[in-house]
Amino acid sequence: MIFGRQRTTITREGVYYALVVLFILGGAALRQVDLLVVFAGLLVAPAIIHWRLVALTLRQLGMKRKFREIVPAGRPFMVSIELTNNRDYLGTWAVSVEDTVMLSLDSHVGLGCLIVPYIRPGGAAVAQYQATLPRRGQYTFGPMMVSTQFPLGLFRSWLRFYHSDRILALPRIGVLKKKWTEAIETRSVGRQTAGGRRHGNEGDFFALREWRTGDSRRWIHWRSSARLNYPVIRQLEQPQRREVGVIVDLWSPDDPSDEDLGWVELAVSFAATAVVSLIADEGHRVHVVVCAGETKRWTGEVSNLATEPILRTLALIEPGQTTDVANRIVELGDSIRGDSPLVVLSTRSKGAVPMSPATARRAHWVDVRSPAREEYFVLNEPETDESNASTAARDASSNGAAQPANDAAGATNEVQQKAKAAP
Amino acid sequence: MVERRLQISLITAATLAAWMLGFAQGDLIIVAASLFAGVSSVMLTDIFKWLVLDRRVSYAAMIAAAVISLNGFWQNTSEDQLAAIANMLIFVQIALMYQEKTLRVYSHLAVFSVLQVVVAALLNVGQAFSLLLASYVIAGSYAVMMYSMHRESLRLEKLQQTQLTGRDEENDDAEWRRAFGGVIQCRAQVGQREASASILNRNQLAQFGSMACAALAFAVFFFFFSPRLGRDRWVPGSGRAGKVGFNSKVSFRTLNRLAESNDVVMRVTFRDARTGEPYEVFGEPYFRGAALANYSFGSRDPSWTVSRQNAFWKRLPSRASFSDSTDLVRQEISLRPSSEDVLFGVAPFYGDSHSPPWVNVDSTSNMLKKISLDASPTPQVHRYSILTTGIQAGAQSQITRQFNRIQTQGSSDRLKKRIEDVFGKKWEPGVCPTIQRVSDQLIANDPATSTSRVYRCQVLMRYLLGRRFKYSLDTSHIRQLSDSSIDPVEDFFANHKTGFCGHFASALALMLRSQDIPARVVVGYRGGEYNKMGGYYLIRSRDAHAWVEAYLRPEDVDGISDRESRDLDSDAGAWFRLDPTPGGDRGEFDKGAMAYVDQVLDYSRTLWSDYVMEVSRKSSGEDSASFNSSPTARQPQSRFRKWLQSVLPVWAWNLLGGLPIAALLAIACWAVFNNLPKRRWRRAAKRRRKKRRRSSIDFYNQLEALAAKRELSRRSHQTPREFADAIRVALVANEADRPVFEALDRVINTFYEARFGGRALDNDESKAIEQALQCLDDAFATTTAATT
Repeated sequence: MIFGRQRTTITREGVYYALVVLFILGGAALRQVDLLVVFAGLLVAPAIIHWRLVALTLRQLGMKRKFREIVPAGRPFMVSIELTNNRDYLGTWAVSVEDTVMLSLDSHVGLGCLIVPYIRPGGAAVAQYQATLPRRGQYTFGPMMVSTQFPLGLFRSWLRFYHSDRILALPRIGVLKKKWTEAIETRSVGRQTAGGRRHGNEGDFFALREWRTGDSRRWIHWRSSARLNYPVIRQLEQPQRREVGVIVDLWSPDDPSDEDLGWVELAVSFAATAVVSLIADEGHRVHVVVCAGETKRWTGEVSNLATEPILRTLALIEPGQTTDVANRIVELGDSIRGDSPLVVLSTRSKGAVPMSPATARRAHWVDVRSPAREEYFVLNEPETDESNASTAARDASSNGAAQPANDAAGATNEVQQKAKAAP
Repeated sequence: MVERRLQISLITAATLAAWMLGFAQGDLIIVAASLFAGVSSVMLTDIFKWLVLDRRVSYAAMIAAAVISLNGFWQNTSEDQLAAIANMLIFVQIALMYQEKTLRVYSHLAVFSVLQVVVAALLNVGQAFSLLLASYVIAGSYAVMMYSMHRESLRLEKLQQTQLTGRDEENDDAEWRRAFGGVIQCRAQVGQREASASILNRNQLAQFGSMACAALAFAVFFFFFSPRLGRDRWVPGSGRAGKVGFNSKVSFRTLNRLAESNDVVMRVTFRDARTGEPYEVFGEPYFRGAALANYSFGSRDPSWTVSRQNAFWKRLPSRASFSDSTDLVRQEISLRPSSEDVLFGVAPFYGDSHSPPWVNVDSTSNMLKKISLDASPTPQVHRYSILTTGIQAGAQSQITRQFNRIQTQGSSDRLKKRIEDVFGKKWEPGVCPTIQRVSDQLIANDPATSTSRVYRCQVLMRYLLGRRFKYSLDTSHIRQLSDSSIDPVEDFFANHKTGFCGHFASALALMLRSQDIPARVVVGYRGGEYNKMGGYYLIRSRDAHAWVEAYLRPEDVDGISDRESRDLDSDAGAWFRLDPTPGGDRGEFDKGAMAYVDQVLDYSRTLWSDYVMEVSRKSSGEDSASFNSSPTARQPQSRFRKWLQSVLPVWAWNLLGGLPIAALLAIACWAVFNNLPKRRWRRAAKRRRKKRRRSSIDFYNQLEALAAKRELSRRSHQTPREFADAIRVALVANEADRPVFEALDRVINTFYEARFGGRALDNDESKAIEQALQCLDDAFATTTAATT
């Protein structure tokens, strides 16, 4: 645990108090008013005791921060601060905690403010605050300032913990509209049967699950059933009957404005939503290409297991000036079936990218800046406090363990529900 | 919850402060008004919010109150000026109470209440101040605690609120702005106010109590050992309520109201002058005051008064030695000043080194009087110590020696003649025929009276003590019985035979004078209540009494017992105390529970006065200058000091005197300059450690060097951790890169611990760091190759 030097300073009230005491003390000493001497003594004593008390209160104090390592942006989650009092005798009272939350390499700064009422000697106390990270990225929690001015508020002792923790905020998940569904369905109609036969009926082994009514007995995994004492079957990955290509073009000018960055964030959210939606809809084989500013790129086949890396990538990807989108369209178009849909989610218009007419016809171009985008995707509506609270409560009940897969699953369910509800 | 407690505790403290001022001025209206204002402001303003004064209206009310109150500031006495300030503070405080409570109003209320306590301390409210002050400090400390918690929760709430101001961006129409995100929002699961309130449910009171005890102990130490620097000592309100009534005159038409007053006049402690141990006195001692020689026969309002002629005030006589068989008793007297300068004590009076110079005695009348040598203000209590031989074997002698300071030939005869002139010749048989006639008959009827003046005195006194005379303090009844056309003493003696001690003493004095025995009426105090806890007699106004002293020539002393004549070594004669008032012996005092409580209260009052109110006086050396300290105060303290001196070496004793100042200075110096030497030392230590650290953080330099190969260099505004973030972004981000990130985290965390935590790396950690760097090197190389 890295922490700075504990400091004790006098507060503004303490200065006023000291002035009053000096006034009384001076008058008492010079004019020999015994009652004033008594009064001055009664005023000086608490101040000195308080001074030493606040200094002692923060000694041998330990801190631990607990939260999930990966959270979706825009959704509240719980951060638990555990303060440990390692002293044997003196309790710790009314400790104020100010935890800094910062988006790395950015100016976004938040402050989690807590009051820990009491930590008994040799014990620990946990306080929680609910944080909502506005956008994707890598956030840093820390440093944390712990202070106390209990009980009189004349002196303030504070200590800075330099220990920091990191959290990855996944892109926001929005709502896909009907036109998106049409875009990825249109070209695939009538191709499902032919494609489905390519890998056989059963597909690759995916996982084991409990036998349910209607499952074929051929799929029962007898060895595992014997070991577990109840029937389990082999869940096989179904052969992908449809392929979808998604190219995310995160173009931004050299000196991007907030609006430019906002459109980039919207594109990333669009892409993340699309990926999660496609994964949820069994039977798709999805190819995702992310074209960012540098040569860095990510390409891969999407599956349930690959959700987290894709979202991680989307969470950390930085925009830039990509020039080879047309080539990526051609490459991706060649790698998938010719009649499979290929959607480009871009922060610029189709005309801004030089490409051949054939390439242009091959790709379904969605410019997130254009109003037409709203027919494909909208960002989720701001969540109400009630929903935030329920989400945070779920977080709190999950003991703060890292559950990225659950996050993705939760987000998937949410997307499915919203997609069904969308017109 | 916290704010409610803050309101109640602060209003309580403010009300207590106002009470101090009310009691100090003896104005119960202030007490009642402040109580009403406190209760109503909490109920109407804070809880129900029915009556909330606008800020401007409140300020106007304050200004008006200040103008009205300060009108009395242009009075002559400092007490009136203080009273004007006190009233202003109370009115302003009441106006503040009805304002809506903000942090500013809370602080103003606190400051005003402190100022009120200061003014009350200057006005001096006696022992009640101690109780009110203790209550005030408790309520005030609690209020400060609540204020601190309330303010802290408000501060954190404000900090949080500042973040949430960007929340409106979430509802912005532009979707790009919503995607870009607003601010990082953090909201405590339990609100700051609720968290603060939960503190109240724990062992907060125990901690508060222990802190209060520690503070009280410190305050006691601070009080007794803090030096009083100034020479100009503040004498609080002695003129307002500090005096008691005493009249060195006996009149008959009206009875002094003080006869039924419970005002404390003085406290007297008897000690053996040789050993200093408490001296037990049996019966009710007579504390002699004024000796009245002149009686205005037959005037409109006849009365006994002090003879101003032939009075010579001198310092108390001191005797070189007393015989061991004679009890020498020290009287330590704390006397509240009266309108007259008469002092009291058991006669005869002797002085020694402890006796103050302002105690003077007139040898003829044997009266004590305060004669100030300077214009020092009247103290709240006169404290003096005098010796007496008037108490032998625990009983007060009836015989008092007549001093003859001029030990020359014939001086005794001149003194006896003067006594005869002053106390014996003033007799008018025509005005009081019955007294003359009855006295003659009494003397004539008893043949033994011809030989002994003492016996004659006793015969006359016994006549008054008989059943024919009735004691009564009901002056209206006496007035109805009396005949205003004749002398009141003659009327009492001959007709109604009902009166108080003044009537009896006057009658006996006149009877004695009718028989050519010089006599005088003495007024003073008799008896009092003996306080067993403090070992002193408590004398109240109602203990005022009048009795008679008859002059005995040296040859007349033969008629009294040896014990009473032991001190009569004077050739100037003696005075024989006669108390003709029937029912004079009131027996033992009430021993009920209330009497015990009364004694406890009075003793605590004495302690407060001795150990708190008079400490400055003693420390400033007034004991030896113009006032003598109270034995009840001085002796315990001197014993305590003697004990300390015996325990501590000289240097430690001297050190103890300056300890409070030294402690305060040390604390202040430590608080102010604490950082200075440490900083210097730290700088030097930092320089010394810098080289060692350089080697311990070389691995971080290697990381930067590795990053530099990929044209990644740390910018000046970047912290190492931010630089690591930049590296992380630059590296390929997929699942396979997780070990690389872990290696990066390991390097950065270890760097922070070594650089800022001062932790040295062991061999295993060094190897792990080397492996992490190797991993990063590989990652950089792979990424660079992929890029190219």
